[in-house]
Amino acid sequence: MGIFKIFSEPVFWIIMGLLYALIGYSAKLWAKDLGLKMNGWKWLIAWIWFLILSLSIAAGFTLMGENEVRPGLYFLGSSLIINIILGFILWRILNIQPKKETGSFEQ
Amino acid sequence: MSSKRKNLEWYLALFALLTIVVAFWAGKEQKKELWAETIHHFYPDSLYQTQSINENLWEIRSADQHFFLVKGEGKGYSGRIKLLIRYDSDSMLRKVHVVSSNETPSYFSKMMNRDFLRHFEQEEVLRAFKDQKDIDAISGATKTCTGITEGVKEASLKFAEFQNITPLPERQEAELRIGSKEIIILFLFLLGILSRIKRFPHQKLLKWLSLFTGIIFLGFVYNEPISLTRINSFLIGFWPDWHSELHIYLLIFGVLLIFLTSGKNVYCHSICPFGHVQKLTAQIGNARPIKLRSSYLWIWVQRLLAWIAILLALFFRNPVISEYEIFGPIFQFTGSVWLFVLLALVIIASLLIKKPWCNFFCPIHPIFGFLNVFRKKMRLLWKTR
Repeated sequence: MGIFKIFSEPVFWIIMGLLYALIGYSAKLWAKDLGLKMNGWKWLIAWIWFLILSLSIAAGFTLMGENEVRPGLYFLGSSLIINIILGFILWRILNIQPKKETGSFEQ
Repeated sequence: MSSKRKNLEWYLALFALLTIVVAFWAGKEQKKELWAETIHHFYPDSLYQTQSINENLWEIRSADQHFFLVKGEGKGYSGRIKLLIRYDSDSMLRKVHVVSSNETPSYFSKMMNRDFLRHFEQEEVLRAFKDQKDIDAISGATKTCTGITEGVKEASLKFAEFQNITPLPERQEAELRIGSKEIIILFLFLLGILSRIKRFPHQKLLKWLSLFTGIIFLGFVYNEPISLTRINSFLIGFWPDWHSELHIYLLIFGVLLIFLTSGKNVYCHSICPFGHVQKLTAQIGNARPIKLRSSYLWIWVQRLLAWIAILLALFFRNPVISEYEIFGPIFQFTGSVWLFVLLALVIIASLLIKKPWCNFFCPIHPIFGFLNVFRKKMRLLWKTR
């Protein structure tokens, strides 16, 4: 299909790579702007979610590129819903604040 | 609610009941005889000579062919499936024609796309009675496949009797089957009733137990929620065999009995699998109940949709013609594109708003509302007698 020719162009992949590098570089700033207290585990979960989202979009468009347009659209639709729900779960996890220690001894 | 609104609701409920009765009778008049049309469609008079032997059997002749067409009917999911089966004079089943069915189009297409009818074609006449294991139903369209198998068996028996083929298979008496579906439904009823008793402890446990049981079993495993299609089927007069589908009667009449005696809608509160899905997404997204200024108007929009859907189903004698529920797409991944789009929007909305489908679109809620109007009136008349 003509419209999917763009995905075989090197320029497209260069732009995709730049975007991903930008996302990775600015993730810390995004977390700070949103007021999230991040730790190693939270970063891991966030990156897993982002990977699942990226793979879902890639898989959907791959199906479409292989002339399976209808299955591709169904896959994109259902995986995007799942990713939105997972995104909500992720947001709640990221908003979990560590408990402040109150260690003063009253005499 | 003011007495003015109560009176308005009462008169509108009476009007709705009257229109439902009118639609039912008007639909009966519409019923056409499709057998002759189907025969002429597949075997036109210009090429074939058709002779009716009896009301179930036709003999067809052409220059180089001689065969028979036999009527067969089976119970599908939402109505009778009517078949016309072609048998050659050597008693081989050659072709299965589907004359009419009220099955949901997406489920029917699933069955047709998997060439289910080929199981029976090019086989000897009593093949349908043997080797049941070879005839696998299509997952997600089981009842449609069972209905077609029934129809083929019925037609094969008629043809075998006509051809004096012996021995004929014995007509099996239907046996009452109580299985896991019935047990799950009774269990959900129990959970629903216990959760309504405020003094009963472990309310949270009951809530989560009924949620997961409803979603997993009633939703994904069995896909047997109370749906508008099911209600339309009952109203049209298609009642499934209670021997093999006792769970449907348990669910519908159990819910009705509890509702009419206690006024409590235990189905929507504790059993409906899609209601439970929305509760789950509401927990995930921390959803809030939405308060609209014109909430009373929205209730009437919901009632109007359900009323129109029922009238269309009764008039056209097709329970699925006005189906707009999204249970098929979510639990069986089967449905039209528009239902999938609607499902996506409802799921996203349910992350932010509590139970949007139940509050704005579900046809079951207005049906309970309709019954409640009559229930309250009867109670009032009883008290003031």
